[in-house]
Amino acid sequence: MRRIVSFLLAACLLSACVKDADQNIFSNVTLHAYVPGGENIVMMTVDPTLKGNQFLNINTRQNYAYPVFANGYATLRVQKGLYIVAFDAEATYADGSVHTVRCSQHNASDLAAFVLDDSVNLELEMTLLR
Amino acid sequence: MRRILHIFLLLAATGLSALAQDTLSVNGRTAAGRDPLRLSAREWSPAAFLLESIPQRSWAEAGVDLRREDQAWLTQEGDAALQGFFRTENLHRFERSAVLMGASYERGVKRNVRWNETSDFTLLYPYVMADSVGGDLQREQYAFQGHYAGRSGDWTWGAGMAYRALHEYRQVDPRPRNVTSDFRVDGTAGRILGPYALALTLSCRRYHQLQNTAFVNPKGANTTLFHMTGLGSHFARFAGTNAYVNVRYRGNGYTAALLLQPLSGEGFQAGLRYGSLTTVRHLINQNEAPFTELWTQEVGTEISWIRRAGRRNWRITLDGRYEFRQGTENLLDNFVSGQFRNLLDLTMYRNRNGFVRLQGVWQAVREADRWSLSPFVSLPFLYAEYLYPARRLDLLALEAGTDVRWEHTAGAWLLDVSGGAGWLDGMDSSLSLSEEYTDARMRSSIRSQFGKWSDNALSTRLSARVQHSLGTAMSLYMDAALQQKFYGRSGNATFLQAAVGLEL
Repeated sequence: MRRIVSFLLAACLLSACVKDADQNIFSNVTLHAYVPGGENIVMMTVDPTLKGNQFLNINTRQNYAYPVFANGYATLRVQKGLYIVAFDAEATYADGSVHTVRCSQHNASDLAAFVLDDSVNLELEMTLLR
Repeated sequence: MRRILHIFLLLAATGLSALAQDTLSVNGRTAAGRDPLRLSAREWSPAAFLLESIPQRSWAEAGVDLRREDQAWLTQEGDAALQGFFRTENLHRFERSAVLMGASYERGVKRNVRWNETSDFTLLYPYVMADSVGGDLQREQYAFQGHYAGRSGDWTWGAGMAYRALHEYRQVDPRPRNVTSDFRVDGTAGRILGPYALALTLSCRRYHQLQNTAFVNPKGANTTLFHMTGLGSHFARFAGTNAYVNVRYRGNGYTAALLLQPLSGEGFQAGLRYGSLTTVRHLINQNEAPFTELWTQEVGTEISWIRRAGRRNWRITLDGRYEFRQGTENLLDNFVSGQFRNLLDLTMYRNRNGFVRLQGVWQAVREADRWSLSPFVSLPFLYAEYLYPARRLDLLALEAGTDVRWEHTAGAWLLDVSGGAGWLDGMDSSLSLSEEYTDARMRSSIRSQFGKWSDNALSTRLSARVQHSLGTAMSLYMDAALQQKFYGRSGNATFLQAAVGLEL
């Protein structure tokens, strides 16, 4: 009798467990922006007020602000998911010239970037606008 | 409908034909079945009726249920409801076995349902479909159950099933039509151990709900439909009025319960139960893509001591329930392959709720009168969280009260009157919502609901049953129960139930 009760108690406690207790819902995303011509981007700023600039989780519609890119790199901590990555930015090249560039690789739901691991690197090919 | 009526009539007729063997009068059987000292063990083991000290008993009743609240306790269930019902239950005893059959039919309307279009909200929350318009919801439900239990030497066993079907709909936009079926099957094995019986019951559950929502106004949809994910968050990707409005819930679960009950109806009784139910929500029009999964676990326990000493009897019970809900959202891909593939699942919602309660019954018996006093103190709690954007709701309350009951038998009459009062004190509460990512209307609704949940409340109860024997085999009764709740800041609530029935 005592054995049966002990077994059932233990079974209940073991079963009533927390699902995915050690899950990490966030991902550290490293963005690497480059221009196909080989010019180095020293600094790049995404204008947050420009409509259409987005780092958008397509499941939750949560939009993240872009940090400043230094030497072509920027990092973000976001919830894991599928993201629309699209923006126009002002890029300063190594020679000091300032250009407007566009990132449009992942600009729609069916082109969304997969951010599923604890750390993800996204290569962003920029198009020179002017 | 005709088939349902036939089943009800069959059950009622079976009850009529099988009751004459009992030596107790009908009113005596009723009083035994409603004894406040007796603990219903059926919650723990459907086969427990075999060994309970309830004589053979059958009843059928028809009545109305009314609920009216100044502010809804659950916005998602509306602030008022009116429904009629018919219920019947037959318990037949044979030499070494017993059969229990029951059926019920309910039909009515829930008023001003908001932020929910899904049936069985309390089972499926937070994963329901919602909108900001809402409205009245018509409902119709029927349920059947049948159990058989037997005894062979010191061994007992039982088997049974229960089925519930629910249909809810609305005839103005947005127009949900929800069809639910809920099926359970159970088996029990037990052993008599001296003055006690130990029983282990295992049951399986299969749940299904098909939800179709339509807009027929030619001017277009009057609201967006949201797939809620907890504390005001929702699956924004599938919000809309067209492609994602048809949903299927599929649930599978099991329960294991262990019950120790005294054969004599007095002594120590204990029960322990664990249940698990996993419900997956599918998008029907998207190749049945599963996009959320809710895992609900429940642990319940009860320990009682019953003492019968003739004229002075008492019972003390400590019971509790703990429910743990975990909601998982599936990250579906971008439909490039023509179907949504599940790439990753994230457990984003957790809800822990339950109560611990201590209650006692003290009973005085004097010839044709039975007086009882039933004080209780209870500690209900609720802790819910959504991981990101972070949302959290904490509630802890203390409730205490007492009921007084008087049962009187005089000739062919049985009178059972009870009244009581309780005080609910919202001891500790906090709510934190993500301002930026929660729709302002949802935020307002949750805050309003939280205000009521954390409020203090005085509740009063009054109920009466008048029963009159019509010969030796039948009694006619009338039941009425009125409950009122007076909240500090959230208005009042009234619950009324009235029924007339036949006891056989």
